[in-house]
Order: sequence, then C-alpha cells, then structure tokens
Amino acid sequence: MARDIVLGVALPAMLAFLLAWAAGRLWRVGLKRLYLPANVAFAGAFLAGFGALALSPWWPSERDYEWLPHLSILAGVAAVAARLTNVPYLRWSPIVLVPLVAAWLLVPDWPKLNSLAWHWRAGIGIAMIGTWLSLQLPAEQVGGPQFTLWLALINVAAASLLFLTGSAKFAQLSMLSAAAFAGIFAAELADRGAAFLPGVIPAFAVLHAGWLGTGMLRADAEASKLPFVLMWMAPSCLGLMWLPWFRRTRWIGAVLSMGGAAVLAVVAIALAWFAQPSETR
Amino acid sequence: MRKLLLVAAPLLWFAAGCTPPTSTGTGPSTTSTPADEAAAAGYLRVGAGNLAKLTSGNTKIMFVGTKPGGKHDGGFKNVSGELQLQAPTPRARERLAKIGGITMEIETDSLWADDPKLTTHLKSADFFDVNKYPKATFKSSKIELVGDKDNIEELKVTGELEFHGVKKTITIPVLVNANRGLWISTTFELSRKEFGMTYGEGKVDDKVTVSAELGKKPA
Repeated sequence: MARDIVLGVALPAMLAFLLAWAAGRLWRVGLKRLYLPANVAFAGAFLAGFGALALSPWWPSERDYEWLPHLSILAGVAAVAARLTNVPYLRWSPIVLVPLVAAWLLVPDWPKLNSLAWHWRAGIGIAMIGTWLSLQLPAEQVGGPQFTLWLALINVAAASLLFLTGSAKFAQLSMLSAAAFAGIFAAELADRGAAFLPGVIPAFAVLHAGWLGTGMLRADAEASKLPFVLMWMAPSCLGLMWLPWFRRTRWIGAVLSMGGAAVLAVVAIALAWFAQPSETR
Repeated sequence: MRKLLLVAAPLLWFAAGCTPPTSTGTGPSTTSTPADEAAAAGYLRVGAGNLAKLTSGNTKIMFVGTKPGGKHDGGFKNVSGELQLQAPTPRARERLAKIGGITMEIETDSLWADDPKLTTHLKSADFFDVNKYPKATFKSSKIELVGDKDNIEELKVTGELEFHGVKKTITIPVLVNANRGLWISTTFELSRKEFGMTYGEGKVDDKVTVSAELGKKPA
C-alpha cells in the first residue's frame, strides 16, 4: 500500500511540480499559456508513475484500455503541435482527431460486443469531445489554480468510482493523472504568472472520458451506468464559469459551478457505494 | 350439479397430481437422457461412445487464493466437457477408469468467491478479466497410470490449459476412485503469474490451489 502511494501518487505529483516549474521558466518566451511546459510536466509525471507501478504494458498488443496512457500523451502532443502552428482550424483539429483514434483503440474486439462495439466507440469519442470542448475555453479564459485543483479532485473521485465498481488497477492508473494535476496546481501556486492548465485539458479529457468509458464497458451487465455518466459530467460543470452570467456574478458563479461538479461526483460515488454487494457468504 | 362436482373433483385432483411439477410451458417437454439425469444428480454416467458428459451438476472446480494473513475460497459455477473412457463402464468389483481423455470448458463469468465484493474484483481486469477472457479450457494430451490400490487409481494427466489468454502445458495428479461409481479428483497449484495474472504482487500470493471433483464421492 505504501509503495503504491509513493510510486503512484507522491512520485508523479512531485515530478509534475518540478517539471512544470522548471519547464515553465525555460520555455516561457514565445509560447502562449505554456502548452509545452504543461504537457512536458504532465507526460513526464504520468509516465514515471506508469512505469514505476508497472500495471500495464508499455506497448499493448491489442485494442483495449491499455492504450489510454498513450492516448493522453498523444492528446498533449497534438495540442502542442496545433498550438504552435497557430492556424485557427488546425488549432481545433485535435479535438476531433484524437477522440477518433482513442475511440477506435479503446473498445476491444470482444465477441459479446458484436455490433455494439460501434455504439461504444461513438459514445466514448463523443464523451471525450464533450469534456474537451466544455473545458478548453473556460480553462484558457477564466482558469486559475483553483480550476486545476478541482480537476485533480475530480480525478480522485473518478478513481474512487472505478475502485468501487471493481477494478483497483483502473483506480490506480486514474490516480496518476490526479497526482500529476496536483503537482501542476502546486506549480501554478509557486509561479503565479504561469497558466499550465489550458495545455493539459486535452490529456484530462481523454483520460477522464476514457477511464469512465472503460469502467462502464467492463462493469457488470446489471450494474447501473448512471454513476459513470454523472462522474463524466462533473468536470463540465466547471466550464459553466465561462458563461457570461457566471462571470458577472463572480464568486457566486464560481461556487455554483464548483459546487455542481462536487455534487455530481459525490452522488456518483454514493450510488456506486450503495450498489455494492454487502452480504458475505 | 352436486353429483357433477363429486365426479369432477377427483378427476381434477387426479389431473393436478399427474401434472409434471417441472412442466411450466406449453411447448413440448425437453427430453433428458439418462446421462443428463445422472449428471444432474451429481453422478458421472457413461453414455454412447464411452463418453461421460461433464456438467455443472457433476463437476466442481474450486480454488483457494492466499494473501499474507488470509485466504479466500472460490470456484466456477458453469463447467462443461467430456470424459472419454477407453472401455465401457465395468461392473462392480472390476477395475474401472481407463480414462482415455478429458476436455473441459469453464465459463469464467460464473466465478464465485466467499465474499461478493471479492467476486466482482476477481472478475475485473485486475484478475480474471472475464469480459476479455470469457472461457478457460483444458484438453488432456497424455494420461499415465502412476499407482493403483483398492480400486483407486493414481494418474498423471498432462494437457493444455488455456486461461487468461495464455496456453500452457501442465501435468496434474489425478485420483480415480472406482468404488461404487466413478469419482475423479485432483488438487494442484498454479502460478497465476505464469498465466499473465500479475496484479497485486505482494498483496496476493502467486500460487493458487486449484481442485476439481468429477462425479459423486462414494459415501
């Protein structure tokens, strides 16, 4: 247990902080909103924890959830590349292309899925695009350290849901991104002029929707899908901060959007908690 | 009218009494062979071609997993397969067995454990990953007689076990008890890591004790 916490939480959190802080100072000039430093920090921290925990192969042999870490890195690389080109339509192209690739790679070829595989692919792809779209502009225009912290906490809540619905491995892998976001939050506090969050929204969207989609796909057939849907919706509440009314009302709007996210996450966990089998044979 | 009722009542009672208790539908009743009935009662019954059907009724697959400071029991509810005998079932006092081969298929989603939460966890991607690997199979390739005492044969059965996406040839000790019916049992250890089930190192032991019982144990 202690090993899991050190390697799966403390190590990626510290590494994300150090990398964000250092890379933020190194590459600040010429890059708006620190897309590159943010992704270097996130990818470095995530991969270090991923390698240390050794829960999943570095190169998966077939289509399955094992591609999720790679897809989050791809989302970051695509976001940085699109940002550097500075061409408007190219800037938004990763938001469609990455979820397309992700949806294709994440849904396995199980005979029992049959034609439903395409429904799952569509669902996971749309869920990623939805999370990405709802968070990107708010993160760029009204984001701040509290926004980053809230995303880290939502990752913790999603990890708890994955744990309650059966898989400790998925929960641990999901905690890696929570730890990386916590490190980035600390770097934003340490360097008040730095805005790392917009750069890592693509990776967050891919991982958040990807893990919840995977958890839902593998949950018991009789189990309710509602906790997964509520948890998927939780971070999008933060995007409400970007709407004019929420911006005008300032702290009331912020409290409402963050409160909405918290309520959805808590209800999702409570539903999963009470759905657990309780009798012991 | 009263007379009619007096006549009708016994008829109705008779008709109700004759209704097979298991018949619930309007379609034709299912025809079960003596082998099916024996299997349901837990017995191994040899049918045509010297084959005995293995079903959930006559075959039990169980396992014991250990961890530092504890252990858990589990098993599989849905099993099917065939046991091939080299000769027809002999009569009493005659040496039985002469097993020619065995094939078995286990539905991994039918897994159970001694704690329902553990059942869910064992079915997940952390362990059996039942969505990805819905079946486990065993097919014997070689059967050797090691010993024979009091109608109890000791065999060494070699075969291919495919489980968790990994195929491996294993050899297991098997006891065949031929006293009053046929009862086959085995207990052996498997390394879960060798079958790619690596999650929980340090928290869950690598070796899992697997046991199987085919047929009904003589009283």
